[in-house]
Amino acid sequence: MKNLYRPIESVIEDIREETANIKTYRFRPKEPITFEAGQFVELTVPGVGEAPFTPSSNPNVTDTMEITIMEVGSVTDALAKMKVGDTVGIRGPYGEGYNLKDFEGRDILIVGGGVGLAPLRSLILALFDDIDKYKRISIRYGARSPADIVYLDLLPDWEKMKNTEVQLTIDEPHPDWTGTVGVVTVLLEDLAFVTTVDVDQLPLDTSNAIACVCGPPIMLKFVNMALLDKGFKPENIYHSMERNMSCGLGKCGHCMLGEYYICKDGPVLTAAQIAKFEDPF
Amino acid sequence: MTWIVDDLAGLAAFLRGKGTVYAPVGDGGTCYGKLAREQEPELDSLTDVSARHLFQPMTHYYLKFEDQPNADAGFRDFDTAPRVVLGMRPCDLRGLEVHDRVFAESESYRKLRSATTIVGYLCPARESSCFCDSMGGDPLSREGMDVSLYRTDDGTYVVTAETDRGRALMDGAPFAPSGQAPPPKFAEADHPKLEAVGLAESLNGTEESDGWEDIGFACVNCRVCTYVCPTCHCFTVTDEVFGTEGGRATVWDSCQAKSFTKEASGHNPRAGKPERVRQRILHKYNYYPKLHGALMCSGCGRCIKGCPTGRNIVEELTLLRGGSRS
Repeated sequence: MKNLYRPIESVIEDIREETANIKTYRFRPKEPITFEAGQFVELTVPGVGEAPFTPSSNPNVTDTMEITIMEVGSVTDALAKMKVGDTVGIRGPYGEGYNLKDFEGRDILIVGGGVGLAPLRSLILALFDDIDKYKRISIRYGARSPADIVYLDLLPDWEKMKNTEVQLTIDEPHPDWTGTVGVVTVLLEDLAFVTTVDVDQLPLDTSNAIACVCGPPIMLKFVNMALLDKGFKPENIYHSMERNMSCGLGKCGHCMLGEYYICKDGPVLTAAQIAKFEDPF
Repeated sequence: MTWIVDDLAGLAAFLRGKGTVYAPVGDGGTCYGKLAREQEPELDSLTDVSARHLFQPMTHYYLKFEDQPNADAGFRDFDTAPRVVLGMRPCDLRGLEVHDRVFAESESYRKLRSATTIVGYLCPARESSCFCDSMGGDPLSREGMDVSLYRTDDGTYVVTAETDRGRALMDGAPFAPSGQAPPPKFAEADHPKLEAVGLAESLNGTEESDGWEDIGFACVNCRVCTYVCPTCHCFTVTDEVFGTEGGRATVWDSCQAKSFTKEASGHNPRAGKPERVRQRILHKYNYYPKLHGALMCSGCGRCIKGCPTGRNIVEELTLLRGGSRS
């Protein structure tokens, strides 16, 4: 009997340091785990517990799964002490993925803050696999300092992708940084498309564009306001609303937001779905 | 088929031959427990705690390891030996309907349910905190009972098999068949009342009400209201290790606990009491009805009886709907 709560044994195959407290782990599950961009899994550190994470690897790769994880709680602290060859458990995936069919032919704006770029990476890689289906992809990412930028080594490759641009900002001025300074909303003031590859530089078509946002709650709140202000339609703004999700099946109650169980109805919800809550973040 | 049973001890002894019997035990019937040999069920008053733990164990280790923590620990299902739950009242059975809906997809839950035969007890008298009538309940309803049971004026009990499962349970019953049993009686008393028509809809848009501050003020975060409730079903998945033994369990949890929604980052979407009391009340009377088309409250009144600061959910609902506390 397949039990929904039973984790699948998965071996840590690679660990890559992203920043001082963020690492990307590559796991090889005993059985392939297929997921869609936007869905999440529960990761077990045996004897410590489990915690919800959205994979950061390409959903089209099913024999391994990457997750980028910040050391912030008991499970992630224990995971940080593990090494290549150690075994964890993974169960899932849970929730609804992004409706990529609906993204076709449109401008797509990806807005990430800090480690919030990690779940968006699986979306970005899924989009790259079918890049001709989408109009343009704009990735706008804010980190606290240059040392807190994740995927620093991958960003140049992303920039080289067809019809894709990447813009970065850091929160405070830093001697090593010559780029934009300010929280991620500063990258939303001007929606002109800037890229090294020859592509039309017209501003994003906000009336029709899709926005996918992931970051700390306070960032979601202000990015939401900025995007609505720029003319994005609420039904086209997708927020990663992950909460303290425990069961993953819409039963245990921890992640309830109104009548939504974020683990089941989300974890990505549109601005239209959460508009009725005064402070959904 | 209906029988007359002289005393509960005789009924319990017969049922024990069919499976483990759970019934209200403790002084006056405080909670549902395994009925020991020669022990009589205490049916005189509503138990302080509902029968929830019989259908959702407080702690259930579904993964267990004995030597050291590992990801491939053996899976353990619920104990599904045949059992009889004796003495559940109509309000408890309405509570169980909530669990039936929420856990319908769970094979483990369905197995536990089908291993259980219910001998329900028709409610003899209203208690001062009961409000099942306001929640659309009926103290003499036999809904959900495989066998029904009620006490007559002369102290004997009328037992009726209501379903096939109930008839199978009563097969071989050594009691006198009853042709014409006196009808069950219910003694009314003063109790909290609420107009339940349109209750769920009337709470739409109350999320931002100032009333939550007022309602949350008296709460001391003890969570009793959620632990005595027959409809509450929230839980946590947690790992525990004792020496080299341990495992992963589902454990009852409460939306009234501050830690319930706290995230690893420290962010807490329901950090304040007003948000937490709002979650409990709107889940029961607004969110759940939106999802399942029924209220998540049977009106058993245990939360009123159990609250150490005298909070009264009927008064609170009245307040939210623009009325005043009585």
